[in-house]
Amino acid sequence: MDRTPQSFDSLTSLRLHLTLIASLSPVALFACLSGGWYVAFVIVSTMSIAWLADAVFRFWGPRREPEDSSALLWGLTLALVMPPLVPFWIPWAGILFSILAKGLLGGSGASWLNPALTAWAFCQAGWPAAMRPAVSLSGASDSQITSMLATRSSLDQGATDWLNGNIFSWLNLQVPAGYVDLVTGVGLQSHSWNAEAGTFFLLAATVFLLVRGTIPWQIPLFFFLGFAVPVGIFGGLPAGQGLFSGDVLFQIFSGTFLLGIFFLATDTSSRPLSSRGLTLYALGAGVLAFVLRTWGVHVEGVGYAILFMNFLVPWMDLVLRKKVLNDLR
Amino acid sequence: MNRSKTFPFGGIRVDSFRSLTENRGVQSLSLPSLAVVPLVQYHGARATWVVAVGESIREEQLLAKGLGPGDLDVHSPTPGILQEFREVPVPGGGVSSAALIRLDGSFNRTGRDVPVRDWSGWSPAELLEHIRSCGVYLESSTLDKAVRLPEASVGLDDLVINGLQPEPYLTLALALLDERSAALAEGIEILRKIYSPLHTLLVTDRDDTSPWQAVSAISLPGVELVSLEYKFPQAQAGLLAKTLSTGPRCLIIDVNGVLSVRDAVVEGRPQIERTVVLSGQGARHPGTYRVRIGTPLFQFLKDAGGIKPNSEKIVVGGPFQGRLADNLASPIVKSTQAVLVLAKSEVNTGVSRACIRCGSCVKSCPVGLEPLNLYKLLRQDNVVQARNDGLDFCIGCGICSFVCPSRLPLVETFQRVQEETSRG
Repeated sequence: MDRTPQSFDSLTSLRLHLTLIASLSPVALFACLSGGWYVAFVIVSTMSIAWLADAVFRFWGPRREPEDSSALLWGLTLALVMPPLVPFWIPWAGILFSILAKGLLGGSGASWLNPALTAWAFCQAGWPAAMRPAVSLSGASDSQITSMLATRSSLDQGATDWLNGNIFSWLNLQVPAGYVDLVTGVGLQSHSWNAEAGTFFLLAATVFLLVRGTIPWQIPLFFFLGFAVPVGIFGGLPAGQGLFSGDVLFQIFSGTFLLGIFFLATDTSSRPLSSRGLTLYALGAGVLAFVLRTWGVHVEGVGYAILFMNFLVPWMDLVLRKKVLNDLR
Repeated sequence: MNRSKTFPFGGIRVDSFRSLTENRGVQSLSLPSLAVVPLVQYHGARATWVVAVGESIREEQLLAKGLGPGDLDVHSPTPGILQEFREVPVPGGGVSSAALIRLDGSFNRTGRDVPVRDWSGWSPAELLEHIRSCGVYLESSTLDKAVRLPEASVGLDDLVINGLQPEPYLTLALALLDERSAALAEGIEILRKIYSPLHTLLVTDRDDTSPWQAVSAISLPGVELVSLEYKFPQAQAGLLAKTLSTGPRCLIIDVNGVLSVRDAVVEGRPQIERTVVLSGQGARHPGTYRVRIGTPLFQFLKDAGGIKPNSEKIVVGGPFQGRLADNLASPIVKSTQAVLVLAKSEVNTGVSRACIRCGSCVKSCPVGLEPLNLYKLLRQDNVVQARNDGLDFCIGCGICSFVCPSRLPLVETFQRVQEETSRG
């Protein structure tokens, strides 16, 4: 006689992926608004190709599996880590390679590498010139951020003055000009990556995801700590400034850092299982992202940092599993 | 004494659905005109009939005798004529021979004043004998097998009265603590007299205030009240023993069982009825009902107010340990704690998808297993490695399957393989 629970939790894999897609859609919309029809085309076409390639594997592959929308999510995240003017066939090639690799390894959940990041690394390695963003992130300074802005918006002026006058004055701190524009994506001359456009919406979505427990809180928290602490201490060194002069705010709000810590690093199939594993994984990825961004050749270290930590996940799962079981028999 | 408030890892905080049935009292339902009394009334029951077809049966007459020393006797829930023996499906799964008794004749007890017996002069062995002769079914919680009372000479470190809600919807203990607190106190006294435990604990859910008042209103000297945070599956005997850090000689009995013990000793009443919770969004009148054993499910559901048209399925037992009632002719038995009528929104079935390694099963397993990896191993028929990884420790609570977003048959597979390996 088959023993089975008679009722189940309402969360399903399909619903999980759709929730994540829905959370990212305002970011995508904002990227389209600031990048124009071409960005919209890249996002939609990459998602469609991802879904189609995945469908081929699901129907004719070794294991028939029902749709869980994960391919759509990978297509969307990949499109969001592309520079706005990337030739459209680059993300197509990337996602095709990644879906192929995932399918050959056994489908959803069987690949221990994040499919979106696998595709991104494929693009980076294959067409480094096309993937290079307009603005360099390493050793950023105030002059760089202002140079990213065509004109400083009135929103930035008003908000910065208000923040400095009412909140940061208490802390003896000052928000430099341009940061509000950076966070909201308003007035940026060119984004390095599509996801940068909707930073505010990205943050809003993550609050929702964290409160509902859709993504584990350990990853964003420890990723942030692993990254921000060394950035704050050593981040000023490449620019010739001393210790404790790193620009944490700029480093966090620029590039794919936020998308990385909330969406890429939290991918279920490529993150560790245990809570200790999640902590170690996120800390390691944070430190690695700092190292790669500060001294690496590539301007964007977050993606590689996560991908390199993905390599270690099987090891973490093996080492950090519970050694003593709770004998309740 | 230092008590932890809940168990160290795993478990889930899931809706208790207490509001559906609380504060509704306990109502008695009418007798079945045709009682269906199965031989097998709980998992592992072994008994043999001592009556024959055509015989005229008295209320409470012995129908079947337990085979072994721990096997329970079966008594007749109603007076009547034994019409026939028939194979019936039992809610625990499988089929069992059942006596069909057509209501007829007069009652020994129902409607009469039965004298209360003074048990204070009885020895522990005599008390145990009275309990055994009444065929009282005892369990620690719905997650555990039947409890066999140890010999009186054993002595106990801890006697634990389990007043926790074992699973969502199952508010039986709550209702009984409210309704029969004085009888409960007497039942506890009887068990204390038999075993003279070093400690006696009455455990309830923390957010549950009413039984506290009810229980502390009566005097229970020497009984320690412990309340735990509501979390599934903390009522499971092994987990409860760990949470309470009980001694090695520990007896855990749920509130319903203690009351049955009391009724057996004080009133000499064999177990021919039981208290059943009817709950779920599909039940018209969810609540707690006293009903004769052998009442077919369809009659129970009808008498208790019927079901709503949006009902998805009927379950005997809790949502985790219960079984689908695929035949409503099967009866209420001694181990039936609840009947759930679940609406579609409560069931959430879905197609089985690929494992996405989300880790929910690992996080919530109270044993510390990695269900996803065990499942992968068993799909490859690697039972040896799965057992090395702790398959035998699985208590079958069902959390892994409940939380799995890909609806993989995790606990189902583990239980099946466990059964196969234990068989040979």
